[in-house]
Amino acid sequence: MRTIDEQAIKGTSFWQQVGRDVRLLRRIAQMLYTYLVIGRGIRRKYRDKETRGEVYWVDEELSP
Amino acid sequence: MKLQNPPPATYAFGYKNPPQSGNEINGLGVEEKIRARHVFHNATGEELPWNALDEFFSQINVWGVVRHMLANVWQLRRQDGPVSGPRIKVDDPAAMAAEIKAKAKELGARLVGITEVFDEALYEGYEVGYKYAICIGLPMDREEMSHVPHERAAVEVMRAYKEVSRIAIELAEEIRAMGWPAKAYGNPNSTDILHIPLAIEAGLGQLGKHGSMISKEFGSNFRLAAVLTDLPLAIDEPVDIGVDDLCMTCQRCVMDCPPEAIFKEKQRVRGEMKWYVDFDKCIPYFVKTYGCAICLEVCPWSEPGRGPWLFEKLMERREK
Repeated sequence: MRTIDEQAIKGTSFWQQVGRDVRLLRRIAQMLYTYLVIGRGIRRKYRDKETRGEVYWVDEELSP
Repeated sequence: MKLQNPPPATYAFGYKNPPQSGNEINGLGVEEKIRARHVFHNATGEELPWNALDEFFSQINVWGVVRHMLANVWQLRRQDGPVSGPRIKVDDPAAMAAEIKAKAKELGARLVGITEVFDEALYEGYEVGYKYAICIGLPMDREEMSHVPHERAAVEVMRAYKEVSRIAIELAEEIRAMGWPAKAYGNPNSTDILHIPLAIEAGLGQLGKHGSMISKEFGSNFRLAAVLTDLPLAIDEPVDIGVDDLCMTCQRCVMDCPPEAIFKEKQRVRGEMKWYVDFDKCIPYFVKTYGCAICLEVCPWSEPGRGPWLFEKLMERREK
């Protein structure tokens, strides 16, 4: 869930600001979905492996 | 401070094919002065060698941390923007610096210092285009932080980041209302600047043995944000509060670090001898414990009210 610091934030008009806020809200919703839904699976798999004494390989499981 | 059952430095996660050592990326042992490179936390969107572990860290983190992080992402939409007022003329940069510091403190900052932006405080390949950095520090709640390396402390860390970020955002907005460009840096993930070198130059404190800053007032129990601007400001000088005098002999953070990541001696890093923490040992434990922070809290300077006393004693000893 890396965050992007350099968003489209230079908008001057009201509608540009609305557009910026909508884009950011969509991004936050996406991050939230990733944490709650995809992350839930990751957390479960990790805990299962931990219980079984196995290793969760982050590069295999999480690399794009 | 007594640690409450830190988990062992054993891990049920790892890399099957380990990436390049974070110490190599950080320039450990490198003789020439070079700029830092991104390695782990990263807000720039670029692919980094340790991205998979960073992503894993984000996903196993606790909800209390995530909600503060998301709230910070939302407020950071106001980190930059167009100047919103006629440009005021600044005849006296010292008076303006005092005014800006007072404003920052009004907004909630407890530490404020100003420095010029310099190359070593920027990541390789990044330019910021601002002349000055206003560095802001905010202490964390010591009671919450006494729970390191457990969940409650991790939540407090992110709460403090969100709060210090808000202060920077609002200060930047005030500067833009004066007609001068300003951008707030309140993202705890790496962006284009390195907060610690800037804050040291701005006189907020010194680098400690644990690789983090120590301030006279709060020890290491604080978090940083910054505002970069072109508003003409008088700059502060770095301070010597005796951190090296203490860290040369104190072993507290070294002994309490479960993965034994803290070097006892200064190391050469990107052309400079300085305190350094072994990245490859520290980060897995950091991930396992949602941010660890043991070293920050066991540091004698972080004991509430002890910093100024330590400073006086160390200065007295130096005079003898």
